[in-house]
Amino acid sequence: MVQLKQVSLRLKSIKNIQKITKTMKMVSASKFTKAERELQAARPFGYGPRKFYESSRLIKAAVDSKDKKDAAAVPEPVQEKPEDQEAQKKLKRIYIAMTSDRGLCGGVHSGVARRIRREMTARNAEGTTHKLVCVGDKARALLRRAYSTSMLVTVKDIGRIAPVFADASLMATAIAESGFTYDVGEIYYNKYFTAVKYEMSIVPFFSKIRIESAPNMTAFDDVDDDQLECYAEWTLAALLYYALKQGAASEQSARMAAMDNATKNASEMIRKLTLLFNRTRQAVITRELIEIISGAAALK
Amino acid sequence: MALAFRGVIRNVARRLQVRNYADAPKGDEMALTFAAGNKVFYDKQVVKQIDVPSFSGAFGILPKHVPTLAVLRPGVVTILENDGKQNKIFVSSGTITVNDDSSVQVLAEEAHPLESIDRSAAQEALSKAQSEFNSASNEKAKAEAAIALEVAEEIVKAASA
Repeated sequence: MVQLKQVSLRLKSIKNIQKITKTMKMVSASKFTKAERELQAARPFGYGPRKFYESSRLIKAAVDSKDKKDAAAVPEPVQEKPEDQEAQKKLKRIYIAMTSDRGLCGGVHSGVARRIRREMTARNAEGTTHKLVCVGDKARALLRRAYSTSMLVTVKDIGRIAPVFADASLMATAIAESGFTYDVGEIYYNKYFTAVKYEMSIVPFFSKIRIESAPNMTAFDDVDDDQLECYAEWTLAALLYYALKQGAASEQSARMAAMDNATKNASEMIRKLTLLFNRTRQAVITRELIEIISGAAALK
Repeated sequence: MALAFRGVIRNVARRLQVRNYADAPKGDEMALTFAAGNKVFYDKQVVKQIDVPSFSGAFGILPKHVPTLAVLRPGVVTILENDGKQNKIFVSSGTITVNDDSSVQVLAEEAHPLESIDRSAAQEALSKAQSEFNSASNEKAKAEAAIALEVAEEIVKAASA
């Protein structure tokens, strides 16, 4: 027999949980609208550098493939020769995991961490040539155990307030000042599509040396060494900013969905428990009645 | 009177230019993407000319400019739109990329139209930057203050122009 008191306590605590999840959903909904609005302004920051990487043939993918119909006509993929693959292995790489400090938002962070783990295992990553930059505590917590030797920079305090450009430039500075000279880097982030859809994406970035030796760099005007370095660093900051914004929007949308589900689950539990509570109470009343009546009958 | 007349002449000249460019073939178009941390000013919009201040000197970009990279320095970016309208925007720092398909990307950290710059506030920022520059103790602080000073100077120059 379930105790009436226990059921009522449980019911109360679940009602409180529901209140919390509901509020969190509300909060993330308002943060989400803001993040989405700000994302609009940040989109060119991702588009610009990618467009340049494409036109200098650093990457193969056509950035404009979606809004241009002649996408099939643009550059045929660069053939990878065996020696290229050898060189690929020797590249010094940086992996940037774009997460935040906050959890309770579904698989947003673990998706990023899982992808990085997969890529690093596939490339037989060693601590000396493959470095990790963890943005947000979640990435650090998820990757610290397996790749403690690869940790380069960790950035905290992400996700509490909306990211600004200064955050991105601080990160870029930290990476520049870490003393690790990379060839290529990849930013792993969640790309926001709609309120219910986000996708793990990767955006590459390149060091000054790689940009200098890009296949199509000859088409470009001569640029000073200083300026090119400045350009590469600024581009990294721009890409970081873009990824931060994308990550923030997808995180908030994911949290909204997660909290919505939690609220629904709580109401279901509340419904079941209320039923149980009422039944138990009825049972207690009935039992007491029976006791009284049978007692009275015995006295006759 | 003379001033007004000059304005008329300029307008006529501009209109003539418009006609010239409108007749030009489509391949000469220059799609500008101009964004800052706070706002997107142009998104793949076709414009006529862009004047940018860069560390290798200020330069103008017309369609079919040779592909190039440059780093923005604080100053005013002037955009001549297709309808002849001139748009002046102050930028703090950033990059300029001219691609081989004649598309131009200008990414700035902060950018604001000249109209929204308050001159007195700019003056204030300048004097603050100056005092910071004078009181900077180590090399790094000095360099940072010098940058702030440069930006403030450019803002004041742009606001008073």
